[in-house]
Amino acid sequence: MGKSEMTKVTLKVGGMSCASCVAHIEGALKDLKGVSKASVNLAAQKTYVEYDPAQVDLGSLTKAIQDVGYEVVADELALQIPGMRSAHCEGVVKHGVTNLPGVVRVEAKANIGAATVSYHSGIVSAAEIKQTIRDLGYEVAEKVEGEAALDQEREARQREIRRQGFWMLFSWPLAMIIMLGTFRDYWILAEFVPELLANNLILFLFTTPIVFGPGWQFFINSWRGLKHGVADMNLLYATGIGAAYLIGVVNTFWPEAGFGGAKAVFFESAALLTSFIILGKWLEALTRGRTSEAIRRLMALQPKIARVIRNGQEMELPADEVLADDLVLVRPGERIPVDGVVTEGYSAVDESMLTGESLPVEKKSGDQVIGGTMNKTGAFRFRATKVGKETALAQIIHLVEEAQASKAPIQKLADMVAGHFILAVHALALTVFFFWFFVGYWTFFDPQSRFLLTPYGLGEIGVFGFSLLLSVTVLVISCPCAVGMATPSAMMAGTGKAAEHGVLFKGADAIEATAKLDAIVFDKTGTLTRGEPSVTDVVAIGGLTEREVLKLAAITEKNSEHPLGEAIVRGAKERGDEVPDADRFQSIPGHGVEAQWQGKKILLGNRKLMRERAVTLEAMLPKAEALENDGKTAMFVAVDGRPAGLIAVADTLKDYSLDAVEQLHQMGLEVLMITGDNRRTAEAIARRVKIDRVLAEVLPQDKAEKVKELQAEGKRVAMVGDGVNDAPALAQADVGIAIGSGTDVAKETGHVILIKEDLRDVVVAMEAAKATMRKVKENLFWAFGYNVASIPIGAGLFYPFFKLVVSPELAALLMAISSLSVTLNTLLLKRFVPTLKRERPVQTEKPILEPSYAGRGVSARRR
Amino acid sequence: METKSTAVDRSILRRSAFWYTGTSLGVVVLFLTLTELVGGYRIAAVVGGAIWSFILSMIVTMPLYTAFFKRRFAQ
Repeated sequence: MGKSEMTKVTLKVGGMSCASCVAHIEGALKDLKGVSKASVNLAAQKTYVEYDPAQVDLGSLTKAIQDVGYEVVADELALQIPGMRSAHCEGVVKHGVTNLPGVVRVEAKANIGAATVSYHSGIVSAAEIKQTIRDLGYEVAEKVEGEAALDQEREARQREIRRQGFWMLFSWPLAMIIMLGTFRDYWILAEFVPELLANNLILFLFTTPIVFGPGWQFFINSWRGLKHGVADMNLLYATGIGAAYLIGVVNTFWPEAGFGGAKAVFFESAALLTSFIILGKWLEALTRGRTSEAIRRLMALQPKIARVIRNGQEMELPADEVLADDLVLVRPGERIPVDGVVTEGYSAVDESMLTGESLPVEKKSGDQVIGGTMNKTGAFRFRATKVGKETALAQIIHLVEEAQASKAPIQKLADMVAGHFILAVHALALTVFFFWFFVGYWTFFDPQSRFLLTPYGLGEIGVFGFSLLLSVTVLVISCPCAVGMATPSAMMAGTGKAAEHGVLFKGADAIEATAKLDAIVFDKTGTLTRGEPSVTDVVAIGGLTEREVLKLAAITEKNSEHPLGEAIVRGAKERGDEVPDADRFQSIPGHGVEAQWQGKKILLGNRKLMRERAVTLEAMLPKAEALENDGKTAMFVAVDGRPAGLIAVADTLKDYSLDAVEQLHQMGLEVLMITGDNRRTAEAIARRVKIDRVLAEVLPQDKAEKVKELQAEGKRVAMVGDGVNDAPALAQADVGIAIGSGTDVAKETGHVILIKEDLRDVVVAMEAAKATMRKVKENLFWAFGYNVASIPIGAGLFYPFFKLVVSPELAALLMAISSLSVTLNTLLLKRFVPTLKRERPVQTEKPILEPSYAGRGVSARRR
Repeated sequence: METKSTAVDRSILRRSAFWYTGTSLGVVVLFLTLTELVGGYRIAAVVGGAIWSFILSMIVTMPLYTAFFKRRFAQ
């Protein structure tokens, strides 16, 4: 089965609450023949599946997920189809749309000209559905149903918040009454709590609605799972609540049955346990969405409306209906609807939301604009080049979503532990029960013992009641919710935050690998350097100024098509000089050029040319050699047979190359440069950017091999390149970083994509990855630490010494706090700001090295 | 195809049910034996303990056996 035959799909799955859910869904999907990969992201509530459509279909995938007790959430698209007026039209639309892959259900109503389509957005887009209907010959428009309809995930989460919030309002007042009734004999409560409330029958009447109301969801969910051989967190809750409630019922109605009698009813345990679990679920739903805020913000950038000029008429269209080659009009303050090239007008565009670039970027005719960015000052027209799923914003959203749905190696370990944890906890609860039933109770039990942090004593509790109590506490206190949330929530927040700064991680594994790097290899041409020669130095002798020397050289080279000649002409023009045509011009192949202008005979070329024309070079040779030692190409200028000066041309460093390398050094990384250039030129460049090691004279096809050699030295290596020429090396490296991809992010090879050409974003990527992994480790530490510390306490390890036991309700509170602490810790990632932006909120325009000559016409050195 | 898959599912469920129920009953027998050996338990504690042991054993063994037989059939 070839890899190309595999279909990839991301499904939204509802009802997951813990890491064991992850293991069960993945297990159920992997059991299906034809499924090669299944990866569940708990925090994103999404499942990524790769399958062979010849062996298994989407329906089977959905059924497998539903069979283990979870819901596959489909997106809904409400459409108005005015032309669909008969049953026949209804049938045509229904048939046409149903046949699209990813469409689950179509409800078409000809009498009102409307249709509702349930579909999986990971397979088919709303635009494709609409296009299909148009292809069938019908006009179609999406019903606008408010902002909430655009974000179904948020809506589902809000439903969960409302549901659990309602159950909290229901259970907490009742639980408080039950608490007062249970503890009526303590402190001053007897003075104002009616005696009736302490009656077991009344407590039973108050507890029963809690267990069968808010608590019922746990019984239903665990039963669904058990039917399919799945044990999840709900089972822990259900056994805990159920056991406490049943003991209460038995001791209320049959106090002589020998389960501890009328004084050990545990109704408050059942009620508070339920209330605390509901509180935990409510808090989790409340905070969970915040970790995915970044992707929501990216989605919110997608403009809804575009102003398009068709057939000379200006019209407003939904942004997803703009076609390639459409002429689009953008006014000040409007968002640019799709990607394109400016044809008319001038403006400044704020691209910070996509590239992290803090200053508005000037746009004029011929410049690229990116959909989703904000037009600030002027109006302009542009020709749409990329629309729909092809736009940079759509690609970025897709990449970030995929990264968030992926799984880091560290998460796989946590999932495996948490997935097997539930069974281990039940086995432990059984062991604890056996121990206290046969040994512990007889050896250590003291009737004066109490529950931790309460005045409530255990009294005359029997051997069964005591052993059961500790067994139930172990079940409740061991819930690994926090372990399950620890990694995915941090990964989601980290990938989103990095995307805000123009760094796209293609997967959670890329973040983990980036945080562990030892060495970074930069490709030279096009990455560290601009990849096109520029004038770097001008040396004047013999009475002319540098400017005159450069101008004369430019006149000589004006008609040249040689890259060095073009660099000289560009250099003169950038300095503000007019470059007139030479009166006469002659190219001397392999040597240089000669020209005549205003009676002057100008020669520009190498040593050989000068010697052949008897020009004395001695005064210029030391300087020429120094420039050549710096990896530059030195060209001699002579006027009327006398030496006039030197012009040095070289590939110039990109802005901030030195800055980036210095910051990487500060982070303790070895920085290398790889190039096909000769060693002298390569080392000259390397010296200027303070590269540690140079891999020179490496052919493009051998770059991957060099990366492999570095890996063989035990280094974890990142390769930074342009993503096209360096594809094999990027793929070979532990982390391939494709730089400056601009708007074409989807085509890039590499694990990390930097939207801008700013090399300092390599540092941003490193910092974002390290911050994320630090958060993951902190979360795992707290989550595992909680379980490691709480389980022995819950199991009664310290009971022999302190005569204190943890009540099930306190266990539930601790469990809720552990989940909450992990989520809140993750939310601290929102404060992440790269060092670069902390130090310099506004980017300076000043380049680091000599390239300023090319940009401004004045050498930094000579200033 | 649907019928064949349902039949396989039933067979998996039957086999696993046999094994997890058997194992859980084995744990109950162990529990009862220990109560006899230790002695001094009221009948209610013995019955309650046996039921609790059975429930926990079922919860532990049910997914283990079901997953085991599912894997075996998949192979």
